[in-house]
Amino acid sequence: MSQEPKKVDRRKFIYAGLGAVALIAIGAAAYIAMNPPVVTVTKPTTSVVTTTVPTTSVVTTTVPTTSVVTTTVSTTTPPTEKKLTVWARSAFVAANNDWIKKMCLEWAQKTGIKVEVSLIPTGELTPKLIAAIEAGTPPDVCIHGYIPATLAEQGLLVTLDDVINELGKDDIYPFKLREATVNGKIYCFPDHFELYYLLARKDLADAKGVKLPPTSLDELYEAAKALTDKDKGVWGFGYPLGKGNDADGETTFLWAWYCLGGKIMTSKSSAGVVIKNDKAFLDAVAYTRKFWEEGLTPPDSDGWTDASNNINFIDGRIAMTQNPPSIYYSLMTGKPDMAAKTVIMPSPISTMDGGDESCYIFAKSKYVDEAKDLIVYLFKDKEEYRKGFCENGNYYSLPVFKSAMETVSQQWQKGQAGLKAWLVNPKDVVEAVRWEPSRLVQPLNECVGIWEDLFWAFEIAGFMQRAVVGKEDPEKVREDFHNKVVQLAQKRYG
Amino acid sequence: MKLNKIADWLYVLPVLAVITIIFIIPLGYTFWISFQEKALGSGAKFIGLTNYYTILNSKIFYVIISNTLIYSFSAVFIKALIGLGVALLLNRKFPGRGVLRAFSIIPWAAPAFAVAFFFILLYDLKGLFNRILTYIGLPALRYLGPELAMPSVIFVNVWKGWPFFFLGFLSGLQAIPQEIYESAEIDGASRFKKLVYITLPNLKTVFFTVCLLSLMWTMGDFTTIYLLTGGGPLDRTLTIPVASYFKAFASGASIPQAASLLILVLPIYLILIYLVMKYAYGRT
Repeated sequence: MSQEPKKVDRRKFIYAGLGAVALIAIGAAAYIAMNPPVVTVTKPTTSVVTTTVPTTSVVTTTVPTTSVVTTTVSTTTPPTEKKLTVWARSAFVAANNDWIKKMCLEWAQKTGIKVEVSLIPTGELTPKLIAAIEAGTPPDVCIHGYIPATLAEQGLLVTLDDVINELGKDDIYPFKLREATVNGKIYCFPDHFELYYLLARKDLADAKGVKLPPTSLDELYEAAKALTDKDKGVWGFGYPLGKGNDADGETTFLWAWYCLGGKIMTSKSSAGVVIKNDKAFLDAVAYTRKFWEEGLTPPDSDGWTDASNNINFIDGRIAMTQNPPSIYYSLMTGKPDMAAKTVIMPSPISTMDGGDESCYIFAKSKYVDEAKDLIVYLFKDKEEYRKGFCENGNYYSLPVFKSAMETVSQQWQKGQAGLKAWLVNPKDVVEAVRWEPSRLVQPLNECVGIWEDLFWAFEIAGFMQRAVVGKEDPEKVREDFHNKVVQLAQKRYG
Repeated sequence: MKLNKIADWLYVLPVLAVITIIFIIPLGYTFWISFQEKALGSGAKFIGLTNYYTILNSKIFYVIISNTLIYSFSAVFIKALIGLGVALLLNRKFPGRGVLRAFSIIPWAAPAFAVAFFFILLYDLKGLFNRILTYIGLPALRYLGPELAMPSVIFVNVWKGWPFFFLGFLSGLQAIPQEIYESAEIDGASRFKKLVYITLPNLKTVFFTVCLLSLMWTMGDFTTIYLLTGGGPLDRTLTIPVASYFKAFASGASIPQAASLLILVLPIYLILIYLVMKYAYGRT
């Protein structure tokens, strides 16, 4: 015989729920009671701070600059061990990750401060940071991180002018300093150049008599036309037109837009958004449409994801594309025969710098000075940085220091491996860089946080797709794009 | 007697506490935050129904709902058909049945990101699928282009998810007493009649439970679409989880708007949960 389960009436159920909540509250109160709150004392002067903790111990902290000294006020708890939490974007190049870990470890050994380094995959870093910020537990330092402009605009970062001065402000390319400056103050250290250069198959170009490098948008278009050979399954230019987690497409579109004189914002306000009157947007759409409609880019480019133009180039299906150095790095390490047929060139007009990844320190950090010291330690020895971070990664990353770049230039002149494919001296390319796609908005030429939001949500790619692949009226797309930027600007800047 | 009642509640309290912590508090917070405006890392400001108004007034919301329903219902329907067919087949006795049963579970066990990457390669213009098409003289297809993106992501979801149906249906089939089939055979019932009058009615509970559970999971599927298309091209595959992710973690990091979007679609999930409970346990 089966028994009916006993029914619980609603009132009792509610009482039980309240009981559970009460238990949780008691538990939480007990937890707080057993863990005394941390008291933070701000010391505005250079000094040696000695804090006496009653009855048990004495904590002595040397403070070299304006700083925050943290002491746990308790009669029984021992002094807290200093620990820096470092989140680093896991770079495409293993050598970069190894170098970051090695340098952090060295610093930890030298200072006696514990460092916890977490390498986080590219796609996960920003969501993790946002979640941690909302939870009130961001790391102390982020190396190679994204969206510093957004974070700085929300008051979440500390200024790094002193760090930049210590690293030698005059030795850092002014363009990189511009990428680091938000509302007139430096909030981050962009740690490398990651150029969106033009890659081409020299063997195919020679066979078709195409002159490299192309020096104008028209020359690039003509080169793409000449190199397209659909019978052989080769398309002239891989233009990423997808929206699948892919910044390559919107960077290429932005590059074309800027080349044609694109204007997005003239001031950091909703009134400063000028997209709706910008003819260059329509020209950039028309230019991009030529590649799509004339079949100069593979017919599946509208569904490409981040890896697609890499795969297509490596598999020999596209003769040219614009991309960060990952393609050439893959060729060197996995397909050296193809690497020998590939050349790297500046893009016409100016090459985009995709190296927006930056080091920054969260204002919530208890150890701001120590964090600053770590960043200085990482990059102070410029030769170590050039060799360990840049050269060991086959120059996937190019140095941000002029002095280090001088060495790279000399190595290029000597035909050093890793730089052989460059048709033009990398130093000259770096010095001619005018644009960065994710936060340096033109013609304002300043970091704009809302642009980072749009860029990393791939919304620029979305508008490009509507106008190019969806064949929507470009003027309507331009208006929608304008309204979107105005809406975001209104909310953040007024 | 009274002491017994207190003891009963004491046994229940840990479960209630866990439910409160992992379910009620986050849901309550989501509901609360959906009425706020909140910049990243700063305090919240009450703005009433503005977030809901903004979402309901955007065309994209209806595109997202429609995409989600098309994606989920199509995928579940196909998975159910395949799962049922394979379960019926592998419920028979034949040599190698065990190996085939084990082999069938592989897609379900594979990590979602690996499956997505695998299909990126298969869907490539020169990938295996197009090679087969061109080999038999047909034109290559743009699987992730605007016209085929939705069927392509549905196919991946089906490929990965059908073994769940197979397992559910197989266990359901094995629970049907053999005597019923034997009686039907004595009465001269055909195979088709046995399927229609014995198998399917006896599978009803399992069928609805498996379908509804899968429907909820498919509606919440993020990895497949995010990695294959990112919701594009032209928002053709933008579903609720991908759109909420972009709202929360990318475009302006508007967690309140992402919360509003989730609250707006909550009734769909509640109805599904109600139906699962009804069919699985026979009561509401």
